[in-house]
Amino acid sequence: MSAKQQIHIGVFLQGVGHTIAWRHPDHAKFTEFETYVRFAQLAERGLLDFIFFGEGLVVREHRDRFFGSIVNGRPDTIALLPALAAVTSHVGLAATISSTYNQPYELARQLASIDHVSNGRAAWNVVTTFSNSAAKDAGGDQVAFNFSKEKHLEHATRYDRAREFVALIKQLWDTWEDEAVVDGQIDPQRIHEIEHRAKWFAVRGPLDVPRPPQGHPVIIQAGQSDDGRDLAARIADVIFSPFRNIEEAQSHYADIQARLVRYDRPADAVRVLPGLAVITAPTEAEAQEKAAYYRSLMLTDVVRRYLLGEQSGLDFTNVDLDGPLPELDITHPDANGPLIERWKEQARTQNLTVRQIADQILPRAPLIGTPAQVADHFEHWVDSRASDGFLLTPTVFPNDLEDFVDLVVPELQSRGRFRTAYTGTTLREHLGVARPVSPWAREAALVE
Amino acid sequence: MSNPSEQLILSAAIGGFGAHPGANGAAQRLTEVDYYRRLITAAERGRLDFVLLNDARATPDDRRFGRLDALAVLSRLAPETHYIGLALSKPTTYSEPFHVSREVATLDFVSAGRAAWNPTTIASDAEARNFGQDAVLPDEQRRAIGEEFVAISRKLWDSWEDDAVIADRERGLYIDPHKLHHINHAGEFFRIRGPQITYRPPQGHVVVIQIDQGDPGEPLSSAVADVLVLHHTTRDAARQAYLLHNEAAAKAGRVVRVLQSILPILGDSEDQARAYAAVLDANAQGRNIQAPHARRLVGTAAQVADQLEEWFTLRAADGFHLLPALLPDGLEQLVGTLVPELQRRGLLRREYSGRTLREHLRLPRPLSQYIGAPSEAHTAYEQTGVHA
Repeated sequence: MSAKQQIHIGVFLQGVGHTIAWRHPDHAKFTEFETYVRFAQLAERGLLDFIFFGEGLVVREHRDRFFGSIVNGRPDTIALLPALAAVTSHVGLAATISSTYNQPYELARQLASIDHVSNGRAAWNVVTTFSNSAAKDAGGDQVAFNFSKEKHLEHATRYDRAREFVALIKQLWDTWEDEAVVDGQIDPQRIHEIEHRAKWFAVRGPLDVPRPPQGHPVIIQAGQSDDGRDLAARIADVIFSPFRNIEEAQSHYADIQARLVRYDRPADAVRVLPGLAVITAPTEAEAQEKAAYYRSLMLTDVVRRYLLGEQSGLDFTNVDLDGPLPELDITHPDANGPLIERWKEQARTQNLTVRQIADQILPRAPLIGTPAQVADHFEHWVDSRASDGFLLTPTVFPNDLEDFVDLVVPELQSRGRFRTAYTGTTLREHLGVARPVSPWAREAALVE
Repeated sequence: MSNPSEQLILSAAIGGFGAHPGANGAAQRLTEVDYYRRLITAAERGRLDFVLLNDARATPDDRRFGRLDALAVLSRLAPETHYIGLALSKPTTYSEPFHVSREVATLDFVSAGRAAWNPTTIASDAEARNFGQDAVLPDEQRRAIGEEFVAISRKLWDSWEDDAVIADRERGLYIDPHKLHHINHAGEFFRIRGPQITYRPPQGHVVVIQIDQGDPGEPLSSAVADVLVLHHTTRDAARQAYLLHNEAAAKAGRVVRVLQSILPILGDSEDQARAYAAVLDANAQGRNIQAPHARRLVGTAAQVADQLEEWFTLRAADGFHLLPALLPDGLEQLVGTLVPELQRRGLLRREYSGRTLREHLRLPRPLSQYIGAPSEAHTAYEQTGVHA
C-alpha cells in the first residue's frame, strides 16, 4: 500500500433542492421512501464515507407565496436515518440539525440513539440556521414563525448559543462512562449528573441513553463566517466548505489548520470536504453534453425571475430578462445587500442583462469530465492541501451518483486513493478521526 | 372467516422490563435493537394491531437502566416489519410541534402508514430538570399544552394536501402551490405559521393514542385522540365510559377506538398463574414502584380470553392494550397462548387484511382540513411557468 493520502467522500442528497433537476425524466421520486433506500445503498456500494442530509425548517417561499417550481419537501432526518441504518451496514449517516431551534437534552438522546441503532455511524452537522433564501438573515424570521418566535436570533447570538449547546450535548454523551454497562447490568456509580447551569441552558442530566458507540457521533460544521470557522476548529471532526476555486480552498484549509493549533488540536483532527457536483461520462464530449442538458432543465425563466426576486425583494414577474438590470433598493428588508452591490457593479462594468445576472445565482459550476479528469481533480486538490476529499452534490439522482460510483470510484481505487473495501465499521473509522476519550477514563488515567 | 368488525383490537406495551412492579432483567438489552426486534416481530406474528414503546426523558432515580429514543428504535425496525403498527410516546411538554409532528409523520413515511403517537406530558421533576425547569408544570397547563400541541400537529399534517406534489414537467411546477397552506396558528401556548416541510403522512394523520395512567395532567379526550386507552375495574364503568367517548366523538364528527388496559398473568392452569403472580408480587416487595394503571387478569389463556370476550361483546371496549407483566417472555407467552385462543373464537384476525394502522383499526383516513381553502399561491410565477 502506498503512502498516498486517502480521499474521503460524502454525498449530499439534495432532493428536489434548490434546483429543478426534478424535471429530468430519470430524477427519482422523493415522495417515496424507496428513493432514500436506493440512495443509501448506492453510496454504500461505492464505499463512500457517509450520506448527508440538509435541514429545511421552512418551504421555499417569498413574500408569503410558495414557489411551485422548487419547493422542497423532505422527511425529518432524525426519523429517517434509523430506517436507513436498517438497509445498510457501513455507510455513515449524517443529519443537519439546528442548534437554534432544539433542546440539548432531546437532541443528545436522539443523536446518541441513532449512533446506537446504527452501530456507530451517526454524524451531526451543526447549523445555527439562517434564512430560507440562500444567504440573507431576513428570511430567517420565517423559520422563527414556525417556532412561536417573533424574530430569528442575530448571527452572533446564534453562535453564542451554539457554543454552549454543542459543549453541553458532548457533556451529556459523556455522562455514562464507557464501562457503565458490564455483563448486561448497569453500574449506577458510573453514570453521572452534570448540573449544567449557564447562560442558555439548565440541564441536570445524566442522559438516559448510554455513551454512543463512537463516543460522540461525528461532528460536522460548515459555517464560513469568523464565528463559524472558530466553532468548526473547536468542535468539528468534518468541515464542509463552499469553495470551488483552489486558491480559496487552500487559504481556507490553512486557516482551519491555524485555528486547530489555537485550540490545541492535532492537524489531522478534522477532514475538510468542499461541496462538489460531479458530472462524468466515459468521454468528455458526453459529459459536456449531459451538463448542458442539466443546465437547460434548471434554468427556466420562472426560476430566474424567482431567484432574482428572492434575493432583491423586487417583483421580477414583468421585468424584461434581456433588458438592463432595473433599479434595486439595497435597503429593502429582503435584499441580500452584498450580492445586489455585485450585480449592480457587473451590470455597469460588463453590461450584463438581467438574464446573465440571474444565471450566476445558480449553484456553483459542476466539475465536468471523464473519470480520469475527475480523479485528477480530486488528487490535485488533496495533494495541494485544498481539501481532504469532497462532499458530492449530485444534480440528478440516481444518475450522477451511479456514474460516480461506477466510473470515478474504480479510477480512484486504481490510483490507490480510495478504499477498496470498508476497513472499519464506524464512521469515525472510515474518516480516520479518533473516538473521543471519555473524561472519566482520562480522570482515571491521571489517578493511576 | 369472521367479520372484521366483530374482531377486537389488540395492542401491547413493549417498554422497560415489563409492567409488573416486580419485573426485572438485564438492563443492557433495553439499549439494543435486537431486543426490540424480538418483541416487535413477536407482536407481528401474533397479528396485533400495534406495539407501543413508551419513553421518558430522564434516568430512573436509582439509575437501574437506560433506554434508546423510541423514535430511533421504531424507525430502525420499520423496514424489517410489514404490518404491525408502531406507536411511540413523545412528550408535548418542552417540545416543538413543528419538530414532533414532522418526526412522527416521517415514521409514518418510512413504515408506509403504520405510525402512531402517544403525546404524553412531562410529569416528573427529574425530567423537567433536563429541560431547564426546577419542577413540573401544573396539571391544567400540561393538559392544555398537550391539547393545543395535537391540534397544531393535525394542522401541520394537513398543510400539504395529499396531491400537493404534481411534478408537472411541462408547466415547470413541482408542487401545486394552491395545495400548500400556511396554518397561521395563534393559540395560548404556540404561534406557528407553517406549512410543514414534509409531505402529508401516508395515513393522512398519524394515529394519536391517549392513555389513562391516572395522571390528571394528561389529556384524555376523543376530541384529541383516535385511540383512547382507559382503565376501569368494572364492566359497567367501562361500558359507560365507552358510550360517553363514542358520543362525544360522534358529536365532533370523529371516530374513536376505546381500549382497556390489561395486565395479564398467564399460566397453563389457574393455580400455576396464581403462583406466578405471587412470585412477581414478592419480587415487587419493597421496590417502591407503582402498580400500572391496568386491570389485572390472572388465569389460563382461556380464562383471560373469556374476560376479554365478555367486555368486548358487551361493548365495554373495542379491544385491549396488553401490558405484559414481564418482557420479553410475557409478550411471547401472550402471542403463543392468548392470541390463538382469541383467533379460535373468531375475535382476532389470523392474517392482516390491511397495510396501514388505520386500516387495522378501521379508522377513517382524514381528509386535509385545508382542502378548498384559499392558498397564497404564487400565481404570477405560475402563469409565466409555461415555457422552459
